[in-house]
Amino acid sequence: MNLQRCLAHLDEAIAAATALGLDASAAASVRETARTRLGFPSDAYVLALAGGTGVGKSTLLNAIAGQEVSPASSRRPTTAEPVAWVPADRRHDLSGLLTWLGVTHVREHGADSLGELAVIDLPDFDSIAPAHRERVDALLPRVDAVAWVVDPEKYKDEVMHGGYLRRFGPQLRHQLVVLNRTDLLSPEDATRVSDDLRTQLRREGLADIGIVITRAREGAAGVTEFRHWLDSGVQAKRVIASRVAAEAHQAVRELATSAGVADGEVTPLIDPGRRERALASVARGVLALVDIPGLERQAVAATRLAARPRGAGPFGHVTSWVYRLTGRARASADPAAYLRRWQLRGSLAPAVEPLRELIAATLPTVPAGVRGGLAALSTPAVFEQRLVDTVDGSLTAEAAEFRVPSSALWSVIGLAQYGVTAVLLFCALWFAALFMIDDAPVGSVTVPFLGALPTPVVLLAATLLVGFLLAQALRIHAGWLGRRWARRIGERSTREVRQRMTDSLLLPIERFDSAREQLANAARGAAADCG
Amino acid sequence: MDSVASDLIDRSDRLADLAEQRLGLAPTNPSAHERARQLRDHLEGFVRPRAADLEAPLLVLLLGPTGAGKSSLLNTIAGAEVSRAGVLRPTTREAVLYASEGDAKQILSGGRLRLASTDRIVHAMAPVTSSGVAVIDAPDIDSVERDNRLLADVLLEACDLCVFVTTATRYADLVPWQVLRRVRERGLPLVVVLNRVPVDARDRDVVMADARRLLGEAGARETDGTLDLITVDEGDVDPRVHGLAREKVRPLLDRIERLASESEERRRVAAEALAGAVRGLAPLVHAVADDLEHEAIDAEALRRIAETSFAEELAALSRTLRSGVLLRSEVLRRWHDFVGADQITRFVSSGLGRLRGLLMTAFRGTPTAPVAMVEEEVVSTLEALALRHASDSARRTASTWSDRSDAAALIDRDPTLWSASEWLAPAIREGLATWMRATIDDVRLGGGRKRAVAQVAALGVNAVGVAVMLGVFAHTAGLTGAEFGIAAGTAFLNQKLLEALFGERAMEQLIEQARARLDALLTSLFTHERERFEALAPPPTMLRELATQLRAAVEGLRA
Repeated sequence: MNLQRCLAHLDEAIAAATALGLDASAAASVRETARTRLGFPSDAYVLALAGGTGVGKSTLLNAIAGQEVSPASSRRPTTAEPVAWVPADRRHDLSGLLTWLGVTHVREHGADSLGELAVIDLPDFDSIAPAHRERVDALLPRVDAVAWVVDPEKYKDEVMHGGYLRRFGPQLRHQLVVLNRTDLLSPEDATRVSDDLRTQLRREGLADIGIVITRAREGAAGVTEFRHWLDSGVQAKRVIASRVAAEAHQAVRELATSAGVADGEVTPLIDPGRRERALASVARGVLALVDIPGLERQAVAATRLAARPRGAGPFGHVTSWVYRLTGRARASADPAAYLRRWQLRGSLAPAVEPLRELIAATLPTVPAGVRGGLAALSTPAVFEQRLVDTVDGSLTAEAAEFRVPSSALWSVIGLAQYGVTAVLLFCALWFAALFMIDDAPVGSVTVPFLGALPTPVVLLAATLLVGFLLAQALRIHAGWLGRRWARRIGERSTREVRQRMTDSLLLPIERFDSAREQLANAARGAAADCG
Repeated sequence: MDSVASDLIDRSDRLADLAEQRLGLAPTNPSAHERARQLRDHLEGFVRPRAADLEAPLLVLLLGPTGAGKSSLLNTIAGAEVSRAGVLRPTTREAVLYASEGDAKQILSGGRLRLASTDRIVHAMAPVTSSGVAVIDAPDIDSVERDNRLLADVLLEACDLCVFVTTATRYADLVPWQVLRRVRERGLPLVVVLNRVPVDARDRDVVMADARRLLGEAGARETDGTLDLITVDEGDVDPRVHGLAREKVRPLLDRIERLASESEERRRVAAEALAGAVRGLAPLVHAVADDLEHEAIDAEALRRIAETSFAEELAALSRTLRSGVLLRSEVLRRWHDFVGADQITRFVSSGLGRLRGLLMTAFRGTPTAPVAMVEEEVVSTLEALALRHASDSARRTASTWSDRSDAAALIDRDPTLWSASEWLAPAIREGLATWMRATIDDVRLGGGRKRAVAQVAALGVNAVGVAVMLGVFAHTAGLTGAEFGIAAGTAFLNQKLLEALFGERAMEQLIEQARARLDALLTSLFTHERERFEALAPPPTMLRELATQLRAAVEGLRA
């Protein structure tokens, strides 16, 4: 046992349980009690005598003390206020502890062999006086050890077993059942009763609680077995530490149980296979909205638009200026903006649906205590928001990287187009000259012939052909570049969306899982360190 | 049988029936359940049979905590060891019925102990001389064997006289005290046996005075103001029969003997028990009715939570459907291409455009509408949205219910309540298919226009049906921007086409009809989902009605 580590596991468990949305208030009060108890001197431990009315708790204490410490009476219920019986030399040290316990009736003893022991005679827990029961319920979590006192009449009462033993038994290490008033029975019957009681304890999973038989009414002689147990040289420190550890262990175990990880095994809430499938179909849904083919069309258009002013000669400037002015460029040749507007292209609901279905199928397999927490952090709206944030983040980053490709070839083609324009201009001038200076003052102009055709006509046709071919070359080249780029950004966007989604869409559920893992670890650690 | 008795029998039957109905509603509050059970057991086990026959054998019940000496007392009464007494607790798991053969047969075969499992009642034969009085030794009420308590509770409701056995250690225990309170409430004649009283004179006086005081305070007194308290000292035993000392319990033995021998006395005790029972009946019935009314308030609150959640989510769903951005623009673009094609616009246009359209149709034929694509898009989007909002309603309801102590267990029991039911997804698909068929049927009839019928047939009934469905979702209101452009453009063209086919009024009617059908479908689906929750909270009106009937059934009941 390592108390420090044990309490650390309790802290971990409380933190994990809070993250899971479980009610950890009981565990927190255990932690509080443990800390307070450890703050008091630990060279004496507190043993409570607990039992129903009339089983002889006070008589038992008196028999051990050899004097009347706590008044015993036939009147039921007798003891209303707990009475403490403490070593005389420790009374001063113990006063803080006793105040915390709320015990004001204190008697002293000088028994050396019981130097580390303070006994508290508790009120009953089964009479018609509800205040007694409340007192016991408040005190029991704070004492270090308990002697459960029963008698032949009451040893199998449901109040005792259901209300106290089964509840507090697992949280105590130093405890014992005292079968008192056996003077009412023959020795054989006392043994039979004791065996029956042992069977019952075993049935309740409390087999390691010992049983002693006493006859307190006969005084010290009747309680030797019990006295022997008290004297058996346990160290107060150990009793206190083991009690705190047991309580902490129990608290951790309860939290782990309500999170469904009590056995220390944590299987992910969501089956990995189903999870992959769901994520894949979400990605499909999102990509349908992102519309990669549309993005590629835009990319190709943008590339062509970029090629036009550089490679289409003087008229290219005019047309691209017209495109920009009319907004056609913005609407159909701006892949970055197209990507950023992905959300406006329809409802996200069908894309999120596989996740909703996944959670709906998972919830029934989750322990009841964490269902509400899981349901709250996995609503379709939450998923949609996460999806929007995730995809937005990746697409915006992606869009910022978009650089419309360009090529030196465009400038060459552009230059050639300028040449073509110049030649065209020359041809035009030529024709104009031919018509205008028809009536030449000096001689006539002979039109050169190239074969059967006049040279200007051939030149014009050839130039137009070259211009057309250049324009086609630009178109094909820009289209080719654009498509290559489009494919690249399409692939990158797809990859980015898939990647980011896998990484972060189910993050809250992964955190939930890791809190469960943490709780399971705390439970395993507590089993090792609180034992 | 006099009229008073027959009135009582009628009322008993009615009340027992109502109590049974009430138990059928599975009260969540344990004490409410306990009261309803007491009422039913009491009516069936005692009031009705006793009102029917005052001469039936008197049932004397030995009741008390474990180890108090009930079995020992029965042995003393029988003068033989008929019930096992021992040191191991609880001694008895069965109830021992000590009665003559005829009496036992009458009691066991009659209805009085119907609610107690008869295999847990052992018959010990009594001589014929003790006919008329049957003594039954109940199992304990407070040991770890909880079944024992259940059996004792049933027996308590059925008996005519209760002998409460306790001890000097036990007399202030809480559990028996709660049972004694019920004894008093049901007006049952009571005898208290205080066993194992200390022999020491001073202790004895203390115990006696205290026990008397407590019993007196608890109202365990006979009507004449005396308390029937019999004390047995520690060690006063009769070892021959494993019983209590005969002379100590003589008063009780005498009383039982007298009851056996004098039928008049028997009748008197039976009548007294019945009178007490009738006095105690009205308060119990009213308490059960109060429980019902409280439950009605709780059920109402629970139902309101479900109602609000589902109504709010349904409203949110409707808003989304009307928002205009619903279907993917990819799909809309395809539809846009279809309705925007020249061959289709010929329906809309006139003059040259119409001529051009006719020519194009002649060359290219009518383009095929992307019907299946749009339909699938409509179905999958609506399905996803409806599932989302239904799931959210369920989650909100489950979450609010879980925070309430009266409903948390209901939610824990059925984890599927946290989201939409499995039934919903197929139901939506089926409902939408029906909705589409209905819309297409409307279209086939041409919205009541003869000319339209032929044109619709030319375009394809399914395609026009899809156009109407799109008219429900895609509309031009408030849509701007590049992406909305396609939605708005499609809506505009779509509307033009429908208007050309049907005329403005008929078109609006068609769309409105389709929209109303869709709303009705979603409302009914949501109602069906909500009913999963409502099934867990009984209808408040039914609870109130039951309470009223209960109160009415004891109205004017006099002892």
